[in-house]
Amino acid sequence: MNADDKKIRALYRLGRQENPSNLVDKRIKNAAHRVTLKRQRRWVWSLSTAAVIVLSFTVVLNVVETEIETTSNFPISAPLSQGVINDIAPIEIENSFSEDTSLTMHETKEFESQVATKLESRKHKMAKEKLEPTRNKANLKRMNAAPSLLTLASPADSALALEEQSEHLTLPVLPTELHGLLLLDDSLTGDEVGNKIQVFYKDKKIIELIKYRSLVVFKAWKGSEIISLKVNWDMAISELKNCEVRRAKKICNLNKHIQAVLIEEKLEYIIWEQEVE
Amino acid sequence: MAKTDISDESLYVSWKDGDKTAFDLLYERYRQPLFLFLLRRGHTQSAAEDVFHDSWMRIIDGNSKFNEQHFRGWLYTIARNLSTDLFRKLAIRTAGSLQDENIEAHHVSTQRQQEGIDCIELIKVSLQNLPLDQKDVFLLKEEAGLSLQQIADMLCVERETIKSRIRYAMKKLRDWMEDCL
Repeated sequence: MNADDKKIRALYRLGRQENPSNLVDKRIKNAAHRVTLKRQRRWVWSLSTAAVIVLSFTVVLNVVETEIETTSNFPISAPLSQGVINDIAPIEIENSFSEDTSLTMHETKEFESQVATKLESRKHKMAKEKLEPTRNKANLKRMNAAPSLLTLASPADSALALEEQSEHLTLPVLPTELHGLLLLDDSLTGDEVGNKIQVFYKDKKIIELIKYRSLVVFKAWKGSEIISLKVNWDMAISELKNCEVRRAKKICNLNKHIQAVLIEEKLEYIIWEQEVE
Repeated sequence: MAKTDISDESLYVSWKDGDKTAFDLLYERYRQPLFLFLLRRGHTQSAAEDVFHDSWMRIIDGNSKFNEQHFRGWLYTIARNLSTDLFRKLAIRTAGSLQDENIEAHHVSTQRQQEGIDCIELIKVSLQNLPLDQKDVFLLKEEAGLSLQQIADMLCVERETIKSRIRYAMKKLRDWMEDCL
């Protein structure tokens, strides 16, 4: 670039005075700000919509879960419908498999043996002190059940032993608070989330209860003998009537209060309801 | 980092993300250069303002595809295209001048004598008389600050072509502004 070109450029720059009018500036900036605002609103709207969707989904999920839990137990005065069975089956299967299949055969046997030993030692203790398990005696509640399925696991209680022979078996009225349940045995552990309480013995769930306004729904698994609930887990399946099958699960109405859930022709857990006093 | 150090592209993205001050900063950077580019290209003040406004609206509305690599090139391409469209509509000469250069030089010189304009005004008048392709190269270099290669890319021609155009433009300007040099 020669000197003349530099002068030309310098002269050109000296003449750079014109500007767009303020009105144009304002119009352009306003348009840009409007777009920014619109984008922000869109973003807020999207976020709000997403939040509402998530909340709605959560609420619906909770409602569905509650309904499933409610319908998974026998209605007090109505027989279990196919719809109810269909609703509860998948969830129950998942729960049962995930919890029970985690134990190996050896572990299961060991667990059973531990429960038996614990019961035996308690039996001796009660016989020695000539004490009855007051919690059972005081809280007994009559509920009709299949004779061979449910009994109270307190052989020291002769009254109960007699009842075992009759058609009227008795279920214990269990505490409905976690603290009360844990008091039933020193080895128990548990947790409470919302209206759901779970009780574990040796890290295996043996009791689960869900509290409703005037009703508590109990579920009991193998091992619940430790809290005086005796269930013949190896009972003959042929004795059970009024069963509904869904996928790998069979749900049998023992009576209008008690339900047995079987998987692969093996009793997995029982469900019953207890009124809140 | 000072705001002046932020690249055009970052400001544009920030504005897109909701930072309206980013747009203001970007606008201030190109407010005068872009307007002068349009004005010196041959538009009247009012027409230049219209094209200037429309160019920014294209940017704001996002109707044109943003080349993230080079905001400046994108902005000037939009403005130049809109300006050319307007020239076409007004049937103003857009291609290289077919007029004899001597006639142009005579025209500039006569205009200067008649109006008694100074050198600063003379260069403005001289620019108006350059063929549009040469004028574009001069203005894109001076106002947009683009390199020869960037101008070549923008106009889709070889870099050598741009060099030739700028050489011709400067030669004509030297001739017409002889008295001022």
